[in-house]
Amino acid sequence: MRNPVVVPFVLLILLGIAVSRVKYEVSVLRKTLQSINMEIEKGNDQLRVLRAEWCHLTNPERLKILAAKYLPDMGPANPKNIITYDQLLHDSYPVKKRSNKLSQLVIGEKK
Amino acid sequence: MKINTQYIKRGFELWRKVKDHTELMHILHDRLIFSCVFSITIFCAIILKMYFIIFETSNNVINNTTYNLINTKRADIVDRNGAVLASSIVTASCYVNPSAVLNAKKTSSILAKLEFLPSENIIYNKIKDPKKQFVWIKRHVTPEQQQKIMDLGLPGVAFIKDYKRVYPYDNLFSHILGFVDIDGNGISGLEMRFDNIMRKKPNKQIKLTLDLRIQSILHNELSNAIIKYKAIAANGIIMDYSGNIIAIVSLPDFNPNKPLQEYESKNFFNRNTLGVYEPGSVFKILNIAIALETKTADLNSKYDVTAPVKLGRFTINDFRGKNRILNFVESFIYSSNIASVKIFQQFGKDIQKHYMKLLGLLDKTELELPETGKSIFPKRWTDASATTISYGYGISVTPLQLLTAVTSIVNGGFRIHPTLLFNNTSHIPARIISENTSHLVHGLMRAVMLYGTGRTANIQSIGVIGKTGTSYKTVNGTYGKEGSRARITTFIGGFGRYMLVVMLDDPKPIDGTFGFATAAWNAVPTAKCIFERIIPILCTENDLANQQDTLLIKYIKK
Repeated sequence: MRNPVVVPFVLLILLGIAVSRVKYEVSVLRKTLQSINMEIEKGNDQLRVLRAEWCHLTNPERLKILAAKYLPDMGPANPKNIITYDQLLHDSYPVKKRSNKLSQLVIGEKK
Repeated sequence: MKINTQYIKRGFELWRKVKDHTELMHILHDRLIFSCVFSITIFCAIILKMYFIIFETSNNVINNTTYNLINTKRADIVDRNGAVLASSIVTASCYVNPSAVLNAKKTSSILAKLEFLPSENIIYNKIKDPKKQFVWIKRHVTPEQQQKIMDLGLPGVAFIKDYKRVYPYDNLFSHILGFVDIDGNGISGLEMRFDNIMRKKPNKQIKLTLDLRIQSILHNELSNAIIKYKAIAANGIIMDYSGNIIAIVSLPDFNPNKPLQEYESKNFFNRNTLGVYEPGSVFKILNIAIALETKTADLNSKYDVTAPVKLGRFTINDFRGKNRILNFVESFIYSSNIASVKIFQQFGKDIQKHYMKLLGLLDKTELELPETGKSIFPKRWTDASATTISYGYGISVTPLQLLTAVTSIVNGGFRIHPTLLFNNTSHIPARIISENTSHLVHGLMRAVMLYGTGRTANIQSIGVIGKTGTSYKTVNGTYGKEGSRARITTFIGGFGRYMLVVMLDDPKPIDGTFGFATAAWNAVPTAKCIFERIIPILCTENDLANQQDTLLIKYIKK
């Protein structure tokens, strides 16, 4: 080789090109990652808005008004409606008739 | 020999040429070095420029993208079932770059035509200085408003992506959640307490022990009670036996979605954790628990309540007293002040103070809120002060402290620490009262619902327990004149593994209360309305089975 500087010089240039190339690819990947992250973030933000909107729409006070309007024959359960299983089987309890009917429905008996 | 001069001439010329060539070589050598240095310099300059282009460009790209976003995003707060109580949603905020504005006067007049933006003068004063590069015009505009501004097509007017904190349930959790400022900094409530966590981990959720359904019922019934009994305020808490707060409401309250200037300071006052009140007769629960625990009294103990007790210049009397000898059970059911004093005198002030300390009534209210108050009690625990404390006067505690203390007695005797955080295991309940005492107090509170002042809130199928209390409010250190005294009425009770406290501030007598405004006529019916609505949601089969209705009937003389 006529000049010993040429080889390192060429290598340096090649290395520079390789580094630039890698750097460029990294920056492209970074941009892609950034855009994906932004997409995720955007999706999360939209989800948050929808969730907040859902909560706003299912506000108990609003549901109460809607239930009164569209389900006039129905109401919330009352403590009197709550009985134990033993009470359900007790003869003197007025729920007996209903439980018989229930057992008929469950077992499929017909009187 | 003939000398060929021609050769000599040629040789001479050649020699001269060689001589000239050497000089030429020297000249060429210098020039070559110069051009090499020059080329390398240029090449280095190009490399350097390339480096700056590569690195600086990519940095600029990142900066540009972040520039368009103000990160005020915070973590969501959810209830125990995952309902979102507070969330950050994306909005746009409008700003102006005055250096890019062509005509500040014209721009401000066009912008001011939009009714949701500030007036022309305000905008002009903001944007008139062309040296500035950024001024806010309006934070958190709606998409519709954003479109209207964009339609104007004004140079220098732009938008930044911004986050706005929203509270989908408006007033419902106001005192607990608190609120944030326009830049998303927590100002009060949990927003302030967990500000750092919520900002650092915006994609996480903070799960609370609160239940939206129960909170809504409590809020609704307390609002009704204020209207019905013309009370100036009301508050209530529902807690389970482990200290998990299921619902907590303080009225009047505020809507954190609205500008806070619309409200008075009283709306921001959390009566449950910050307000301290003399509890009145509900404190007798503690008195009887101490007496039973220390075995200075039992269910057969008798107390003569025919004569009032003299305490210095004061006389302690009973409200609608029975004027006979009462046993322990009756004294509690009929809420006798005289009997309470006599019960206290048997165990004394030191034991009383010891148990008050154990139950957390002499410390600051424990809760994950920045707004918590400390109880007020006499610095010197004298016989006189301890005597009045036995029936709930002379000490002021927060409703949360009161509920925590009573729950710690009836839950089997375990000292609990109230919490708003779901699955909070930082405190392990420690036993402070024996199981027997706890069962007896539970039974006595059940008897109050069957035969005492809590009868109107009795729900037969469930076995609700409770105790009422009415205390007079102190104004400038006095209770005011007889007949014009303002009251605080309290009901504390529960069912299954849930406890409730309801407090009404200055309720008035109404039609059907026969001129009375004590707890039995307002706080108890309010509690009944709450029980009737929450029992179908919270009740389990065990709650139905654990009834002690007939246990204490033999002690009661009708």
